[in-house]
Amino acid sequence: MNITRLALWCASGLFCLSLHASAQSKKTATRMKKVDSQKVAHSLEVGQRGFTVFQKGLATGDWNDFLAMLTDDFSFYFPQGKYQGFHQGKDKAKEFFAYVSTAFPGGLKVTETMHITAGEETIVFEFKDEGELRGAPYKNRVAVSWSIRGNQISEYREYFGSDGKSN
Amino acid sequence: MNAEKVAHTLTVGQRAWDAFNKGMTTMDWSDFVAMLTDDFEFYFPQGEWKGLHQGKAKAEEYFALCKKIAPAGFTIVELMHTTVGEDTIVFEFKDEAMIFGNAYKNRVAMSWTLRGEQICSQREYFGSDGKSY
Repeated sequence: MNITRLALWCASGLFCLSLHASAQSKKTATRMKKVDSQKVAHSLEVGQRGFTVFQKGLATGDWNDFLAMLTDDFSFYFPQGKYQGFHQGKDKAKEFFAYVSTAFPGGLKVTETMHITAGEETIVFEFKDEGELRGAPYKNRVAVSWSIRGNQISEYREYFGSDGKSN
Repeated sequence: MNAEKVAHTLTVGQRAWDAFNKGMTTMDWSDFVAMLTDDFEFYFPQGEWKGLHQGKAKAEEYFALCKKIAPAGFTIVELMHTTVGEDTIVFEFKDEAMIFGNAYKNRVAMSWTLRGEQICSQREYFGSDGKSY
């Protein structure tokens, strides 16, 4: 899905639907909820801006623009290694993204964004990336899911679709 | 955004999620497999099945293997987020199981591309290490 086309569709003012996780007893059911297209368009607009500065951070190690988009109570999940699990706070995020750039001193390049799925409060990017992890070739398929609050990202959840050796 | 397409993805995705959940829980994947296109393809993140696989028969082979490694099934502990677009739907959930007798826990993002009333592509991503979520 081309993000510009998606933005145009959202801006067309048509209503769309979104699924939201049920908070009911088993927490595994889904329920439908009507959402207004403006919220989806907003998530997409903020998400697109976020993804642009996220890619800049990955490529250059300059995370300032991305960090500026995070809420003060920002939280994130990372799948593996030293930062595996749940972390809270913008300071922790600053530490984490600096660590990423230490691990990839030449940067990490997003080579293809395959799918973008935008909802009312969440946006998911599926992409391929590659770089050199401490000198060794690195490739992966990744999904990052962000929760959007206002003009910022309040949650970041990263998932790996491969093993770091191919994408 | 085309409201009708999103609504359709939502309806089909919800039906598929129910069938997927049933498959995970009971290891009876027949309802889920019935929702896959003949040219269904899927990506798996790790291990012997890492990478891209094509064809419904390959999917059936994969789900049969799931039954062998986790005969008691997987429990989807929590569905945290569901995000739906025009032709893709992404579920973020926590699951757990006993795999070869060992406790398994993970956070998973499952993204499906839908075509008509069926799923034509599945992309699975792991959010943890299989030991915690």
